Amino acid sequence: MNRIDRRDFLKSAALAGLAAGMPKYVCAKPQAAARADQMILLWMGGAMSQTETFDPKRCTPYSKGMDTKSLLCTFPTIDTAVDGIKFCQGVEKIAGVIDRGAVLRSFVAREYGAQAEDLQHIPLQFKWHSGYTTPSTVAAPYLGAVVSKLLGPLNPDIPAYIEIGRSEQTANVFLALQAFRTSGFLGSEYGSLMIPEASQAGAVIRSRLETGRFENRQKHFKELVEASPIAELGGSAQKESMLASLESAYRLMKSPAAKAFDLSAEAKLLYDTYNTGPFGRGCLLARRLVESGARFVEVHVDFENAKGWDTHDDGHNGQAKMKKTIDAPVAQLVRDLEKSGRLDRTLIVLATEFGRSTIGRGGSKAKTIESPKNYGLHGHFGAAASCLLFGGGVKKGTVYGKTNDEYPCETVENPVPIHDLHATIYQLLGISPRHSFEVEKRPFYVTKDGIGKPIQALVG
Amino acid sequence: MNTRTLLVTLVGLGWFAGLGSAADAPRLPQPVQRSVDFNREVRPILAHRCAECHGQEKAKGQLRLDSREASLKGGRGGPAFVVGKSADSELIRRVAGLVADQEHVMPPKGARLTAEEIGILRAWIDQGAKWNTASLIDRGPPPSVAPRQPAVPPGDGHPLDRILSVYFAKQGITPPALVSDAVFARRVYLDVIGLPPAPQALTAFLEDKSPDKREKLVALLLADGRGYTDHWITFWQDHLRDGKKDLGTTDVFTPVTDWLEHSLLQNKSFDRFASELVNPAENANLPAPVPERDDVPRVATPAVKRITDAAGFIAGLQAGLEVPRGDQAWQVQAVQNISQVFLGVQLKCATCHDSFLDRWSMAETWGMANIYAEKPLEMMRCEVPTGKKPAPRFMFPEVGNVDPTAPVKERRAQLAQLVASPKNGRFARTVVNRLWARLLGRGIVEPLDDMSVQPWNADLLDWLAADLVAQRYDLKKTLHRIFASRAYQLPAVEATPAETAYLFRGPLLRRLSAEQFVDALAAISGRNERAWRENGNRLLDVLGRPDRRTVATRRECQSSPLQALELLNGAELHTLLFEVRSQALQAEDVVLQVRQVFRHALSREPTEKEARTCASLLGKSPSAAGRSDLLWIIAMLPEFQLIR
Repeated sequence: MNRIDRRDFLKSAALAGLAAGMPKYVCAKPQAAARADQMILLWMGGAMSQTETFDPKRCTPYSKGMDTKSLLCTFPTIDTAVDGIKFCQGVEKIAGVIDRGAVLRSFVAREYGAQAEDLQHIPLQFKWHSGYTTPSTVAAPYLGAVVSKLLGPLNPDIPAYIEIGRSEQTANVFLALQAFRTSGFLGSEYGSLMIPEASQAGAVIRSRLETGRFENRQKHFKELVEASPIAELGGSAQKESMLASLESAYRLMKSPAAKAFDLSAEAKLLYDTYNTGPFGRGCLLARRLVESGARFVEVHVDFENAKGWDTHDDGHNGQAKMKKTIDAPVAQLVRDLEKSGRLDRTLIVLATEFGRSTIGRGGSKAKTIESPKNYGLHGHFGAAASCLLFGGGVKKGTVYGKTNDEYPCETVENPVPIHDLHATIYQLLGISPRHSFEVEKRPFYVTKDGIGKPIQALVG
Repeated sequence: MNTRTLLVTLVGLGWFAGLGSAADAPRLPQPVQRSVDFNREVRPILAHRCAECHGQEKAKGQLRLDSREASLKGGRGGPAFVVGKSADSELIRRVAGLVADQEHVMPPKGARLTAEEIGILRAWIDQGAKWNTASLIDRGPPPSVAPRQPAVPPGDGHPLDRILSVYFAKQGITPPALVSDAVFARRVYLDVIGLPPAPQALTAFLEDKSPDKREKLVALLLADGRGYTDHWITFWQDHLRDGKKDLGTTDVFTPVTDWLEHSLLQNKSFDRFASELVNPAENANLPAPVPERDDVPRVATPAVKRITDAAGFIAGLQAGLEVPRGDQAWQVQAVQNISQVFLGVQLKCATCHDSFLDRWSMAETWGMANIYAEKPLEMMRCEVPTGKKPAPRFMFPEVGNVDPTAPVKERRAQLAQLVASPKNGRFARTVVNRLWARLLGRGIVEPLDDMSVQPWNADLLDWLAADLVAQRYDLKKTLHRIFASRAYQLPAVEATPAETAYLFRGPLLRRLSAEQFVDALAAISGRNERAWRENGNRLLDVLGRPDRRTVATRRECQSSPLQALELLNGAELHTLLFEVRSQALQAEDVVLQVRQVFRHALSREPTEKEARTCASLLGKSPSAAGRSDLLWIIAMLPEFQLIR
């Protein structure tokens, strides 16, 4: 009992009763149990162009003076492992595993209309992750923090929520606020363990102190605790909880699970397959962590203005470059988890804050394209974006949603707002989309106002 | 899986725990075995979980549950309850899930009621369903906020202790002896300047033989303007959701740090402090501009303007507003924050609809917001425009009102005056309650942001409030009053479980704030550094420094593996302990070094066993690494991290 603090104890005392056969009335409505125990979110920060990746359109080669609005796509269409699903050139390896997953083509960050092209990355990244817009009256937690709070760690030695590849730098400018926290009102204990660079992950878990010193320090600390006069603070629940959590962190650093953080243990050939850059290495680390029992891992393509997926010029080459960094590692991640038998209980979601068009914010203002630098999808677009889902209860080989085949390729069938996408994810993880927390005496629902509806067509 | 994980998992899975097989059919929870209080126990359940759909605004199934009469009349499903027969009451059957059609289980949104909540409702119905207000939410006139000067029981002693002696007698509590000089010194140093007493200062205090030495120490510490500011600034930064911003990338968040630091150094009277925040100086930059675009690198952005006035507080947070939302216009944020921080009222509910929790209506919130609006804002009901634009109006007309026809500039000045008026007793009560809570671990009213709740001792609260006004709103005088009381000097007690009624027996055992922890370690290792000047980092975060996106009037700091990992191996703490410059730790004699660290960190001498352990860690000729490790093992002691 001394492993948990008093507050948890009191909360759980009621639940212990529940487990011991007290009446059960916590159920909202009959709902399928969890289909996935673990989740990997592959975050395409910076707005991945949907029509250059997973939602191919008529491809028009570059010609000087071409009509800006006639340009929908700059890559030829390719076949995938599923008849009837086509992708764009450059994601052949992912195309080869889409029979293990589903493609959602109708994620709508903002409905088509006057403002569908006037979106900003950071607020919409926040909205994608939290389901809420800022500023909100309470600090809304991110998906990973909610999962961490509600499901807790799967392996007690591995923190429930781990983020890979979001640099501390970005963490600081996120929302232009210092010390921005993804755990929101849930409190930092449900926040993420941050690993800015996958290849350095070992350092997060490996002691900073030289061999022997770390253990020696711990040994003396324990002795000192024993030696402390009991009368000073005898029997304090707070004291017990502080000591217990320190002990569990020490256990983590010493546990076999800590090896999961070390990429150098990986075979060279496989390492090279993943090693397309920070994101690729992040996928490899995510795989290792999930195999060791991590609950929720997010791998970022870190967002930087006008870099990465944020192609405001030279879009054709920019998107081609980005596809190269994701194609092999994402496909390999799916294959590896399948091989180890974990894919069925691990949900992988690849997503981005919104899509792109030629014209929107930051895009072309000219009616014609006059230079190869202007050839590409350079503008922001809210009315369609693509998202992939694999494993953990996802209906295999599915396409959901449809976009227009003409400019601006907006969603024309089955639009999916963020609360429905979240509801789908939550349902697969066994969490009710209407689950609520109490904040300042008001209910706070995990999907906005509890309105999220799971997309059953995506559930296998 | 350890116990904690198992239980957390159960919490997580709890919501669908009822699915199992038919054999697990829901059963009816028993009524609680006590006399149930409608206001305290029943009203929150009905208001929070039922009234949204069965109230004034909506009456789903033609049922209203916002008055006894309406509940008995019932809706399409018949009367909500049968007085005296909870088991036969439709309300109970529905919340307990004892209905054939799952669609009829209530409430349909959010978590189901707990067995305890159902037990409370059952007991209340069985006990006659007493309903002591006309309706669930009495939208009558706002509660009186007039100041009150309570009579202090006769006697010599401190007025607070004379008031509390009546309380103790009534509750049958015999207060224990006051804490020792050493414990008192550590506590009061941490509470005034945020640092433990240095060994020399501690020795001088312990050796002082004068009977009034505790009060002398309080006065001495409060006179240290720099130390006081360096500690209390974090408290106010939390309340004003302020942080230093040195990023220079956007203008969406305007710090008030410079103004705040200056105000604390000056010990600005609290009425002026609040007035300047509510009605900032003329050159105020309002509202903070929404960023033009974020998709081009902002190389040409001029350096951040050093704003030395208080405008950032009401300017609110414009960060990342994708489409400016009416219900988060800066004027709305301004009044939400002003009412929360200075008046102990949460208007967040009553921004999007009439509150389900208390008496405040949308019109009152937007009337407050429109004090700041050049053109009156149109009320947005859950993001839908209502067509109504309430006239500018102060929320407590008893205190006075703004002139709705006056220009904004004048209305702002009027609002500032009303908020900080001596006639507005709520203003003084709210702040003294916050100070009491900060120092004694729990407010006289809880929650701190709902001052309409009954205090556990009204005389105590009202006396402190009246005293603050009499002392010309000098917060240091209030702090002095509290420090000098016997109440503050009682031994610390563990927090009682929230379920049991609160009894004051002494200050709660508190944990050092993130800044106190970091600053104390810097001081012990011989450096004069203050963490509030940092932009926030992982260590401060995991130790409970709030995310400054929203007003935070209370800190939460729960032990967690993530926090422990940061303490065990984090870069910030490692760096902090890396360099130990303290004179004490350079001493020749190892035992002397250990003693000095104990005195500074814990305000006591080590026991022989402790000294041996520490000396063994240091070795015969201590290295820098050894000293840093010694500091670490002491910093990790709960005794160091807690304020006894």
